[in-house]
Amino acid sequence: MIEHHVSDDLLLEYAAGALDEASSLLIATHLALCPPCRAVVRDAEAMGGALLDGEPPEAMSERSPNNVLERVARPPADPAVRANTHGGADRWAGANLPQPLRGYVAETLSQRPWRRIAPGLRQLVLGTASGPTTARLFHLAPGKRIPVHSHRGLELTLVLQGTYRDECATFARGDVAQLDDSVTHRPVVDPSEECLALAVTQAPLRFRSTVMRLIQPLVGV
Amino acid sequence: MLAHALQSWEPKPLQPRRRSGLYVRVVDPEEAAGVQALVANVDSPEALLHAVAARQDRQSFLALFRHFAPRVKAYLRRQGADSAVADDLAQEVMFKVWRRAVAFDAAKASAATWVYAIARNAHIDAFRRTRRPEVDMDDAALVADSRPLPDDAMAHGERAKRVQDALASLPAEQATIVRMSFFLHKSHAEIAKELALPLGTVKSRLRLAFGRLRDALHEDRA
Repeated sequence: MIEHHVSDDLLLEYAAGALDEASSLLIATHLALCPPCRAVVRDAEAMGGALLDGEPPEAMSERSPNNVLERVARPPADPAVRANTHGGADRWAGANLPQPLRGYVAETLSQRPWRRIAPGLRQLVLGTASGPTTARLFHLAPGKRIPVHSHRGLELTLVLQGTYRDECATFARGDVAQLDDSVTHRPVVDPSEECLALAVTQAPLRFRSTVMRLIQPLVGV
Repeated sequence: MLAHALQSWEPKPLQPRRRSGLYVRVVDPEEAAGVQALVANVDSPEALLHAVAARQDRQSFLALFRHFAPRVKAYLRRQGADSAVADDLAQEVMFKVWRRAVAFDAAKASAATWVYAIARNAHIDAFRRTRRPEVDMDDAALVADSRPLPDDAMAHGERAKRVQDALASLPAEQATIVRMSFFLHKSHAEIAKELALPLGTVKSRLRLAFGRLRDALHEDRA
């Protein structure tokens, strides 16, 4: 049972097509796991549908309907090649991850491996369009503690396996933590199981410890 | 403007052939009313999409094309596309409408809403040159919805009208923001900047508009 959802504000921006690729990836992945949020997005898209229906029509070129009918009459090219849905030997490329994330992970793993950035902490930076946000998968060992940090700008974290908790709540598969720069927290992974989470950040994390801040550029968090 | 578009479905004979064919058999007024409803249903964009999906019906597709392509083109022109580019892209959108018609589910969206989503994604692909991550409804890892959805197409047409009315009755300050968001795909922060409003005001106006629309959509379930 998902307890932590995406805010309606973000669902509205997703439905409107106003989010960057990395944030959209996280939200679409949450939607695959969360029927109530899918219902919100469906309702929001109805606003776009009503706007489209109310648009004053602009004449299409004379040839256009026949162009499309000729095109549909041709046999389809190769059956639509899905973005690599099988990602080699890495177990995270398997069916445990919902689409669209699974495709992104498989595609990324065909180009680069996971990177170890600290003991018990690995990351995979996913191949989304370059921009102000980055999507990355974090793999955390059971019981792993992340040093105290806050966030510059918005951070979204979606748990895909295992659980972690911070000072405020516990997060399990499908849950989204939406954090902004007012939150400083110290997440701890449940000791019984490793944790896999997708994080989308607008800016690098801000660690409280000077040592962490110094090594931050080296480890790439 | 919205109310005008709403009416445009009724007087326009989308498929005169089928309509006259049905009228031939009509004898008594009561049956006439029933057939009238049936005809209206056959001509609804949702029914046309089903005809494309089930029988690759070209006439139904042309009716959909006449309604949606010029509106998709107008929508794309608002993004700054010139007429030729918008025309090409609107054709691309209609091509996808044909190819994906089998995936259309009238219980989940009206035809206009479904076409909007395709047009929005085509716009993101073409103008922003990024991918649009979407839920794959056939994915085995998808968590299915356990609640039943209303599934009759008539009720759906009714809902679409209610959404139109709800949108048409929004205060201008909310309507502007809905349009900037859903039609120009601006983030809430960009809208706030352009209108010189606090971000919180943009979000709350959009939430108010969305609340009204949801009330209209779910009136029957209240």
